[in-house]
Amino acid sequence: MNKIDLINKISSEFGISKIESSEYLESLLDILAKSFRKGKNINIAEFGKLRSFTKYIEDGRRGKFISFSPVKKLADDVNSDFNDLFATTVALLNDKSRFDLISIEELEPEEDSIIVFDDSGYEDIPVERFAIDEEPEDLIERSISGSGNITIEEVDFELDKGNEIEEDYAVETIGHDDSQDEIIPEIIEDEISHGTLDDDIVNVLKSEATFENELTESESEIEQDTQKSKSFYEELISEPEEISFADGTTEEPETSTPSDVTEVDTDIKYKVEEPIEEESEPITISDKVTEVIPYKEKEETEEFVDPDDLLPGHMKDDVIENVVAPPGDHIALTDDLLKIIEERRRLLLESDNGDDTETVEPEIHESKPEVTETISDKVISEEKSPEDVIDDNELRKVEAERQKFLDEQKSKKEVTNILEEYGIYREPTDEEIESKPEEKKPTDEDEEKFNSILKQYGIYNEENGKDSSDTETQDVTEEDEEEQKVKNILEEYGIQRDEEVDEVKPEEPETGNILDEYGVIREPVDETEVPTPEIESDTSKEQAREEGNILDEYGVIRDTDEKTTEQEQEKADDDIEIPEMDFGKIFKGEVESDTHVQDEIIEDEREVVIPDELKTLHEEISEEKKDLPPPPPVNVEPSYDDVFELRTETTSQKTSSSKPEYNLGLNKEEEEKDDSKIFTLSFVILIFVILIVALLTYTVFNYGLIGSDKEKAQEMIIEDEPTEQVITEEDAGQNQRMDLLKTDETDDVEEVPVPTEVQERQGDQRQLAPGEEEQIAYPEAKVVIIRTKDGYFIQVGSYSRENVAQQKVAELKGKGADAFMIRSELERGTFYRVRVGSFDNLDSAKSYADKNLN
Amino acid sequence: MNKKSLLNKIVFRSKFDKKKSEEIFNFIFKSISEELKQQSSVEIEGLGTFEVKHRGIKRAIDKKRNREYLIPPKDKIYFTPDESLIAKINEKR
Repeated sequence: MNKIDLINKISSEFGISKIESSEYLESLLDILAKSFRKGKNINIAEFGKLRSFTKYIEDGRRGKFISFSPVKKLADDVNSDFNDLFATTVALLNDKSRFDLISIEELEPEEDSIIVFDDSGYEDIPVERFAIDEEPEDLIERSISGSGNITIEEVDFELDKGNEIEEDYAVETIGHDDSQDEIIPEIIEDEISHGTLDDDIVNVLKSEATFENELTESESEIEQDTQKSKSFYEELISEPEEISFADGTTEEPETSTPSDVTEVDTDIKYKVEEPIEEESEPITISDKVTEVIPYKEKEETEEFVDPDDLLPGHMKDDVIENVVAPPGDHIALTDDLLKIIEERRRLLLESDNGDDTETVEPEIHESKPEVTETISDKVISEEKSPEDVIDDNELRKVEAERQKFLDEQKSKKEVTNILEEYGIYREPTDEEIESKPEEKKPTDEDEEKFNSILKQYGIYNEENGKDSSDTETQDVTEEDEEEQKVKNILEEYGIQRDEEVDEVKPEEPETGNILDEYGVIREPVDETEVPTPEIESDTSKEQAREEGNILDEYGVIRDTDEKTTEQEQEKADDDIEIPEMDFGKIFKGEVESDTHVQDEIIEDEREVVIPDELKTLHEEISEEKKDLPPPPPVNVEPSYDDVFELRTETTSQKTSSSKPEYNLGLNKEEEEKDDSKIFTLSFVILIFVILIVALLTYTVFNYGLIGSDKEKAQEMIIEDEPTEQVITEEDAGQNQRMDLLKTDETDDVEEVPVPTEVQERQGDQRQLAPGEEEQIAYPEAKVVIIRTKDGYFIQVGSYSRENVAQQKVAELKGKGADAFMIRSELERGTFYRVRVGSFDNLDSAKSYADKNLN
Repeated sequence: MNKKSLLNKIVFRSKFDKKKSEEIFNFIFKSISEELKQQSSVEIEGLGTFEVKHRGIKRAIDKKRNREYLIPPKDKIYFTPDESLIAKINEKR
């Protein structure tokens, strides 16, 4: 349904125009969006709950998202086809044997959780949801003898009628209705006898063998599991013929205790494992007792609870019921579920008769001896089946599988140990299973190691070599994965790594690792610049050979081998034709070829040959190097031999001396030195420049300061107008004179007798014009003394406001001073200057200022 | 947010009175739910799509009780909100 369809529907239903209806819908959606925006959830009755929540939407950004959980009624209506189906217990897993094969990923979650595995993956459902708290045994007993609803129907077999139906079927049903009888595919007496059952069901039930054959066919495609599945199914096929007749089917399946079933369960492991791996196959599960636990709905009808989550929570153990969908309606269900149930029932029979059917188990033992040994010791002692013919290839495959399995379990066990510490995971069986193979394995590994070491030292036996070569082919893949990676990296840069060195020298892997680390950077250096040390090393080596102290010098074992071989060969035969080797191949890192060559040589001659070759190689190279001029060929591509030599000798040098070459090469150091020189030079120059600049700036600043200081001083004085010291003035003109005249009259009283000397001094000074004034700062009294033609005045202050000036004058007059006020008009404005005086001398003015105005 | 308060808000906007708006509201979701019951999907632009999907049989293991269960298949409603709606919700003002 579309939005347009909805609008049409609304308009047609209510007789509204489409525009109106669309407007209505839009407004509704808008309101919904707004409410979601605020983070509100919206409950819509009889529909569901639209929930808004925050999650990571995109680019790691968190944002709001909306989920919908329908009302239960709606969910049920939608799920009407499968509402009748309830969860069923398929198997009882005793002794935790089932869990041995479950990967630890499944066991990792908390103990109190259910692992639900599906095509989609795994989900955890807390166990608390289950109402079942009793042990399975009690449950079974109760189910059998308990409430009246339960009816257990057993089929007494009439073997004459059909060979196909050989097993006894126990069916627990609840509320045994006629309708259910029709539906339930589990065989019920009457229907079997009367043949009223649907043909499909009967066919399914009757054709066990065909079913199994199908399984085998499907599994045969998969190579790995062929062994397990075939052997197991063969058992299954052979079982009913042997068991069911012999034992008599009178035994009730329910009476069998879980302890009896353990062996069978363990054996059935393999079968249980399959459906997990292969999704396409119908699920086949081991089972002891077929129970069907009904799905009980809660009386409390919660509107928005997801019924899927509630599913296991409502299972009840009091009531046991077989519920399967009506076959006609759901074909897929019948196909799948019926098969499953069928399988279960068959397995149930096996479990019941497991005690008596000992003949079956040995078959398993033969096919997979290891596992059966570990699981149960009983089985080993049992008789062996007539089928002794097993292909060697199959056995090998099984062994290989087993090794893989054990390897996996080793890795798992580490995890399990950690889990055990936290009490999450405890399985004693695991230890038993794992311990045995672990004991075996290390010995093999040790042998291999030993052989490899022997190889390295040139002491090597053919028998061991063969064994080791076989093992190596298997194990080399695992061991050399890292080396291959390195090789790939090297190949990218056109330099291939010589792996023979790895085999020959024990110390090589270390260097190899270092090469890995520095490989990318160092390789070009090797090509161009290292040859010089190479020659030196060669010469040194030769000398060392002569001396016979190579081991001591370089600590390299291989050199000794070479030496010994040299001596031996010299003694024996100098003319031995060494087989022509493609050293290029060897150094290109073709491992297999190397090994083969080695093996061949070893087989040919007991004496170690490889070192000889290497020796010759050394000699050749050294000779070549001698012939070559000492300066390093820059552009010539070094052959792999050269590279090989380089590497080996660099390693030797490294062991003896400090490791210059791995620290990005010798040349780098030189470069570094040059760089350091340049750096120091540049640093010194920089310092000089800085100093010069500083001097320049200082001088400039100084000169600037000289000029500026004077100006500033003047300005400062000028600007201190509101304060007492005020200096700037222009001619006040006649006003000033008038004032001065006034002051003269008043100030006569307090005039101090003026010393003549001062007058003389004044006479020295230039004579002022009538309107002119000279300012003499007298900071001790915070006063400016003003010299005019008429005499000296003490200027107490100049004020921009007349009131203040008048107040000051009043104060001074109160003190007895001859204060007066002069109004001077400047560009900046009018100022009122308060002055005291006049005085004849400067000294008198100063003394007066000190005495009175301070 | 409740259905009632939602309706009150709608009444302010729409031309219809309260009664009729409620009827329309109920009709919308009823029609959606009916559509879902017929196992068909409903796609509403500006809100999202309601889909019915089939989930197959599940197997469950109860480790505590050492049991293995079969959980029947199911048809379930899945809702995927419209991108425009989510953009609208997360829009920064």
